[in-house]
Amino acid sequence: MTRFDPASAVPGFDGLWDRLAAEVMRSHQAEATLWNGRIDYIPPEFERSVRGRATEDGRLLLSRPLVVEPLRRLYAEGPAALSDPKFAQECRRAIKTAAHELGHLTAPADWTIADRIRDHDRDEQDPAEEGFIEALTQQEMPGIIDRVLPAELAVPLARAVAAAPEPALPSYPGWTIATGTFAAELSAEFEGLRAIDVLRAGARESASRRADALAGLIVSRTRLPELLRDPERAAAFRSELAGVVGAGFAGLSDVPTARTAGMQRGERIAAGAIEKVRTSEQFFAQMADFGGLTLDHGIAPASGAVGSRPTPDHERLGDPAKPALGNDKEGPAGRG
Amino acid sequence: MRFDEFYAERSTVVGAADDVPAFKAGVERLRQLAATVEDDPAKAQRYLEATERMLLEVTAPHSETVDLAFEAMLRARRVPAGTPAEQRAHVEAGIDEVTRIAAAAPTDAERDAALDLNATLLGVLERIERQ
Repeated sequence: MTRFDPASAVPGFDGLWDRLAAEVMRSHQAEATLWNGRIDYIPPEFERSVRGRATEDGRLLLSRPLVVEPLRRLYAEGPAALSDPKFAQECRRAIKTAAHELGHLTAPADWTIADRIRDHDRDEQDPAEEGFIEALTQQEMPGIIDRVLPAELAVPLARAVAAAPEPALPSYPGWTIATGTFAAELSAEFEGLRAIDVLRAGARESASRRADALAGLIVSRTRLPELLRDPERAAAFRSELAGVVGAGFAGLSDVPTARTAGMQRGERIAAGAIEKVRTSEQFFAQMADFGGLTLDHGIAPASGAVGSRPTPDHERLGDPAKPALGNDKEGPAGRG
Repeated sequence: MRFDEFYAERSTVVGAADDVPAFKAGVERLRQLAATVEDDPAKAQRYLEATERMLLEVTAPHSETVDLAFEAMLRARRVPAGTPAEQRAHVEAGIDEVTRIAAAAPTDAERDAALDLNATLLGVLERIERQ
């Protein structure tokens, strides 16, 4: 794994950054990170307005006054500085910003900086990119602090934060709430699928392959892998489903701020995907019941019928094996 | 009650969530209905719990500052047609607006959550520079 580059402008803080990068990889269950080890400062003209940024070339940029300075003071003064709960919260938020930005750099094992740069130009992917990473980082934060700071700092920091708790305030409220709702809806539909696993599947993936990864996760919880055995046809279906999911998240670019709007959008994205797989599952199961028709060359069902009944979990034949993952770096239809 | 009937009722309740008192009443109604679902009671229970989490989300404390900053960020990332310099000026004005909103935040937590949004706008500037 990449290690902190000591030539970085930002201090190393006794291995903090290596532990944080490893922790983000663990929490995302990611195969790799594109972090190149460098942590430098946000350009001075933006250091009071931007807290952190994962650059397209794999560097982490952090604001000197807003993020690095609190951590410098924490390491210089030690636990005594944490007697001020306001400062303790400042340190917690500094680590959260760095964890979020490192989250942008998690990727599949075969992903490269060139792939990342190409992804970066697809601005329709911003809502899902930020929504999944923010939702997961918010959930994982308490544990991240425990594991990346030495105990002599982590324990008093946790104590100070608990003594003066702040409400959880996700950044990107419309996108984060939509993503959290999407994950919760899939968890409700598919028995045994945890919402956090949906968040991880979205957060760890590169932007252009995210929708396909989520489609694969959804399909794997249905009977479709056994009903659609032809790899080409299965891949086509998965690509269509990824298109539904990807378009749904891209549509969040104009989500109103009201919390209910984000929530309802997330519910609709999930409902659209669920309806598509359940309708197709029913169609192909009925075709199979016709007695040995070769489904792989049959006709595809029309788009999901409105009000079609989702197949109850107990009518499924257990958890089929995951379908083979496509490895096309362009992703379905060249986008996610 | 069948699951699909429960699901249809639940969709109606979620679709009307803007009216919080009505949403609360709807969730209460779903609690009673979930207990009557015969063909897939476990799934009905999971959807009920997901709806209860939605209600918690809708009624949880939220920040006017972060909401305003989010709206400013959404406007700023809609880059107008024009020269790269004009586009850059549009996005930089958005960064300034988010920063002004953050500076007026009633708490440090709201200020920082609002400032986090500017990372996306810095990314938009990177895209413009690469064009």
